[in-house]
Amino acid sequence: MYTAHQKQGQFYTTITLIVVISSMLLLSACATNTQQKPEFLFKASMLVKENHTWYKAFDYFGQLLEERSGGRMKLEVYPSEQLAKELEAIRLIRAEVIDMTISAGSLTNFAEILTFSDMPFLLKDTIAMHKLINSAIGKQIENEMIEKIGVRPVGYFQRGERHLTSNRPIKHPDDLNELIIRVPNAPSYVVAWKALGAKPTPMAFSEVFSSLQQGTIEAQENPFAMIKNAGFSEVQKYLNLTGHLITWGYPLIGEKQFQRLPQDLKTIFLESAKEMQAYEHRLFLENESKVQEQLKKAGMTFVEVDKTAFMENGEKAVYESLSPQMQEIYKSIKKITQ
Amino acid sequence: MRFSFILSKFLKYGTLLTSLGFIFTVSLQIYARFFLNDVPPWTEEASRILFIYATAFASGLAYKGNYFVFLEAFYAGFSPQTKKIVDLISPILCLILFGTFAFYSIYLLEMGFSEYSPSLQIIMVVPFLSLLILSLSIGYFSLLTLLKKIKFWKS
Repeated sequence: MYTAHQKQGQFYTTITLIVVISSMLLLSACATNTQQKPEFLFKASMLVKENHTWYKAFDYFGQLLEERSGGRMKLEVYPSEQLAKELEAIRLIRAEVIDMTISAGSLTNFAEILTFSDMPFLLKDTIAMHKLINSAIGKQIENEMIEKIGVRPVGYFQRGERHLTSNRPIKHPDDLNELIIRVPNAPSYVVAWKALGAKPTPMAFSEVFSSLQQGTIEAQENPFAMIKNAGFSEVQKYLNLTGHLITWGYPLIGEKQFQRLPQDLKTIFLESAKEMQAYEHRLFLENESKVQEQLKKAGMTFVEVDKTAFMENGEKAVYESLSPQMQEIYKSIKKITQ
Repeated sequence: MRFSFILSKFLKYGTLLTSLGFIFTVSLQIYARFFLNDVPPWTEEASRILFIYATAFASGLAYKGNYFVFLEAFYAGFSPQTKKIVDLISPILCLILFGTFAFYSIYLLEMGFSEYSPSLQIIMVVPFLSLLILSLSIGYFSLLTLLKKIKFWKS
């Protein structure tokens, strides 16, 4: 039997619980009521942190959209994978749960032609990259993204060149000599580094720092900004300027979400996206030189490498790993970017 | 009851096989990193898929065997009448949650037909199927729990 004291305790527990839950519901309802809902609200998922140029560019893009549409369009940007990781973000866009993200190489899983946006030893410099993006093949890539994946690119952001970091200087492919290099989980990286004489190991990015510390891997490759952000200067001494991969990212919107916009808002959206691209490029150039200085100050030694030797050994292996159809496109890209 | 028995066996052997597969692929990856010239690139992806499947198979069994963590701080202070309500609401909410989960995982399966995994080059329907297994098994066992609770409180 329950005593009067126990019953009173149970009563107060139940009442406390009800009051807590009701207060939470009331507060969340108030929070949503005070904000006026725009006609079109876009949610963008970002891989990068708030201090990255991509986030800043999207933030700027959001301001342009809101101003120019008179508040009819609004963009909410969620950094640091708060909403989803890169591939999950693509799936969520296709499912119309979120609306925007930045991607390129990961889209290879949906359309093979996207492999050229993340292929080592394909492009020799950024001029070649711009030529490719603005060529007929670049347009074909964009069309396949719309038709096969259901995402529309509204511009492109240049990514920094990828360079190799290690604890011994690497000037020529011969210096690699079975160096254990961490590579992303993509076949073209594995094939290329294996052909150069290294021992590539696919590994998740989150495991790289501790693996370098423990000696599971001896080297890794990434752009300057990523090397700095991940603190690789603490565990790697040499930054070998291989520049083996020049890549870019497409700011994307779901095609269904884009087609829902009336014509006037579509125009505003695309024009604002163009301005965002130019804005991001300025930030990117400023950031690249700053980051290099910071890495030097952190104690990294920059090593000039024989780029031609790397390119010659790597590109043949990458070419042979492609399907016959993609080999034809590869040849066309080489012609365009010569 | 026969269906429950077969389902439990299926989940049990599924958990066992995928867990062993996971251990094998991770061991192979570690061994290759240190002793072989080439690390098979598919091990990274295979280990992830096997881990997801091991979790999916084991979740239903964990629900059935009451192995999930309980929050008893409030529950212990409730009156028998409130406990009865909570006992009934809990599996109902589970059923609604995992029923919804199962419904949307079918949509995800449809999307998986147009996507391939980067290393193994398998259609993504294969890993996505684990979500359906997880949601359906937990949904089924929460339904059984609900029926048991109704019977218990009636008697």
